[in-house]
Amino acid sequence: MSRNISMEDILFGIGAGRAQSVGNMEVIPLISEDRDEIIDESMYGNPAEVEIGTRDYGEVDMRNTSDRVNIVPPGAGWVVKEAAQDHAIGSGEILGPKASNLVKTARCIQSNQGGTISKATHEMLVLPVELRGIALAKRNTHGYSEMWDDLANFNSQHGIQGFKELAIFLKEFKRQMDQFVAEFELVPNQIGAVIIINGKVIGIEIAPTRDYWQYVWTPLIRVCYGSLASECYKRSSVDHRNIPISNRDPLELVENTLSGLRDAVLKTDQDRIDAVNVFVSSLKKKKFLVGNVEQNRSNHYLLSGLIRPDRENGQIEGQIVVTEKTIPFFSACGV
Amino acid sequence: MNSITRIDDVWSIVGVEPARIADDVCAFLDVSTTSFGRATHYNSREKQLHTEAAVHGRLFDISRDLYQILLSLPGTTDRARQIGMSALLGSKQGKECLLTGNMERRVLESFVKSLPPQRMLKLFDAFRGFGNEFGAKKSNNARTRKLILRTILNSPRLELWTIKYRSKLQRILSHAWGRSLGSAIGAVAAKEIRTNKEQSMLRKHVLSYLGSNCGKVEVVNLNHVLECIAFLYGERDRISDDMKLLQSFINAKANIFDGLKLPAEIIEGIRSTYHKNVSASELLKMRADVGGIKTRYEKRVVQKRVKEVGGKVEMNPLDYDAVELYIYAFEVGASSEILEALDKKAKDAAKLLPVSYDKLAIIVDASKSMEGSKEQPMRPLATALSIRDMLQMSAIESTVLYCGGFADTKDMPDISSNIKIVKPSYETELAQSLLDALAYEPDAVYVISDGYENSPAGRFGDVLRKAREIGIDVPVIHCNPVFASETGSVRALCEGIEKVTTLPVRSPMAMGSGIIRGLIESDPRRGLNSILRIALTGDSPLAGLLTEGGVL
Repeated sequence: MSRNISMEDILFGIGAGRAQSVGNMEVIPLISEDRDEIIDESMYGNPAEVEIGTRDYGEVDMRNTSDRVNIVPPGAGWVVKEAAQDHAIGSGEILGPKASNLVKTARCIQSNQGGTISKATHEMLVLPVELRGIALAKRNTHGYSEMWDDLANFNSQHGIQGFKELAIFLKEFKRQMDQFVAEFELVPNQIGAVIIINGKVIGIEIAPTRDYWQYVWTPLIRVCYGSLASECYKRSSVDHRNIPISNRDPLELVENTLSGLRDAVLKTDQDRIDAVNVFVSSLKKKKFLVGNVEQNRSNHYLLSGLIRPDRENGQIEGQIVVTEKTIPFFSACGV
Repeated sequence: MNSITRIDDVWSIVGVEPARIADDVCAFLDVSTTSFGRATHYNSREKQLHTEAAVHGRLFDISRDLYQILLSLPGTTDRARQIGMSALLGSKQGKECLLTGNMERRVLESFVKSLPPQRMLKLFDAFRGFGNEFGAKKSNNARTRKLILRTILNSPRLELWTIKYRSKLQRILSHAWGRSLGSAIGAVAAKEIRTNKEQSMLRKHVLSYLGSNCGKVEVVNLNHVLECIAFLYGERDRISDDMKLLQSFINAKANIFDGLKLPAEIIEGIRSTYHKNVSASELLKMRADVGGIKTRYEKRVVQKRVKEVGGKVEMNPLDYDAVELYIYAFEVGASSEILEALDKKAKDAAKLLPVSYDKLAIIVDASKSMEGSKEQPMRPLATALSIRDMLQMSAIESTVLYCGGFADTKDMPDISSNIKIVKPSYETELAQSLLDALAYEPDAVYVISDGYENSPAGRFGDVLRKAREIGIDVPVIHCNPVFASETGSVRALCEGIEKVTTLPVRSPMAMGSGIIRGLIESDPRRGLNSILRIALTGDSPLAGLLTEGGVL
């Protein structure tokens, strides 16, 4: 059975910040305005407080060390330095205070390495957007090797042949992904973002708290979206600092003076702000089409669904966490 | 290799095109003021080292003299001097050089003195020829041996080094003396009664390196040195009462209170091995209570932890550079002493600046990315603020415009000063600040930024390009405190616009070299002569050397 959750509700108490754009990638920060009135941020921990380990291939054992509810985002993965098989999960996981959970539908993301990950707080990443959707689609399938061919295809698309592992991609594209972390900046009260590449919405992310967002921002911008942006960027072969692109309108001076120049800058800035506001208004009119409740823990419910954020482009898929009265978490992406 | 032949025109180097000198000097200044030989976000360590070695090599090939002069500039990194010393010691000096052999020795000694002990010893250790650190090949010529033995054996801190760098120091001495001779010297040094042959050995291999003229040495100093050598070679049974640190090192294993004045890492190592019932925090407090926290660095970094465990460490703000003081202020807050020290540091740094302005606009990028990395938290903004202070002091009139950031007025002492603590926040929107700066009609605009612009990227360049079109040609100098190796230097905010220079700037003291780097690009002769003035005056190791040597 399916039903709709309106984006108006999902974005309740949330406004848009000033868009940041570099090259073909644009990020619209989502800012908590009066969301505090409905969501108590002290209720939620962040994924840094979750210990993970693997007991067997395809199984990730999680323990929430915090006495608050925690949500591990869909597509979370752990590429570890120890001699152990790297793993990722397809679905997000709700963990109650101090609760543990064994995820039996996790995926191995490293075919040529054996061994289990020792239980500890390992640094989390979020799978590249192309793989995140695949992992989500396979979230109910048991096994461990189901993503190996997808990993090989993904690597092959990025010019790396014959590897069924994510670690090689992270090594090869370290420079580009690190650059994306440096390019975009967190702004005060940010709790989410809309990610746009080449004019197409490819991700909408909303976190339960500012602290949570601060933690997931780097994994999201660096690997999840940065991987795709750097690929598009490489294909376009342009220097974003020199060539005006669609998200940096050229300055048109009415008067050839400094005040004329200031007016031109203000106008393009205002045009950009208006465009973002129009986009967010139209986004609020959309619906997130969800299926049945997949997890029910600590009075929090996890559901999967899809949304079509704009008319021209396709749908993106993701997950939402709701309570009786609030929507603390939303994550949807797709290429 | 060419030498500098005329002192009134030091830069006229025989057979070298001025344009080639300018390019190579600029490349060298970039590397010598910003490169730390580490991997960065964008480049592997190997690639960094390769580029660095090539830049050093090109300048060295142009002129050995010029190479030494540039290495002596304020703001040169320790690493550049380590590489430089390695190159100078690893090659013979030609007869045609301006700096004589004796002068070069003194330059090398001054470079060694400028290094912190751990870096100095790392360099000496590299002369053993393992690992190709600093591009050093195995080097054991007479000059290298003399430099090593004079530096180590004459140091008033030899006893401290003996416990702190035991293995490394022993390896270095064994390299300088040879392994067998080193062991023999160690054994003989431990003896109370020595044969004539043994005394002769010590005279030749130890005594001859002691004292300023390597002549008369006080007996007490000689005994002190011999006890350290014996200790290094494992002879630890008989330590005299005068050797307090060596005694503490031995006794602390049984009683931790005996080792509270030992260096942090030594006593911490002893605690974690022999006294597991004492926690690290308890040890820190005990050390603070007895005045065991001594080094400048440790005093700064443990302030917060010591406060948390109820202890107190006295520190003198004037012992630290401006960047360190800002980092400290970000961590534990600013006191009036800190602000006064920052004010003084800014005035001192401004005196070294080769330019001054009537009216200056300064844009400070205080956006979130200026927070820096986990490894170097707050360093970019700390550098930006210290450069801001210095630039303000160098102008009669100035305005400061912030892009992002917020002023931290919490717990700020109420003193009259230009020094303001700003913390990083928000996106990088430099274009609006540039417009405000241009409206101020300054002589120059300085922009202190990491070069990452996102609101949107490229807007700064768009605005400046348009400003040039409407006839505003005020020079814009972009000072970048963050090395970005994807460009081989620092990331520029815009390219292809007239009168815009991007300078790598690691600290206010290195700013003079940075500004001159820009001058060299536009007017090589003027710029190169300015660099000579900086290199031969003030605190530079070369200051006075040429005058003394009768060259100037």
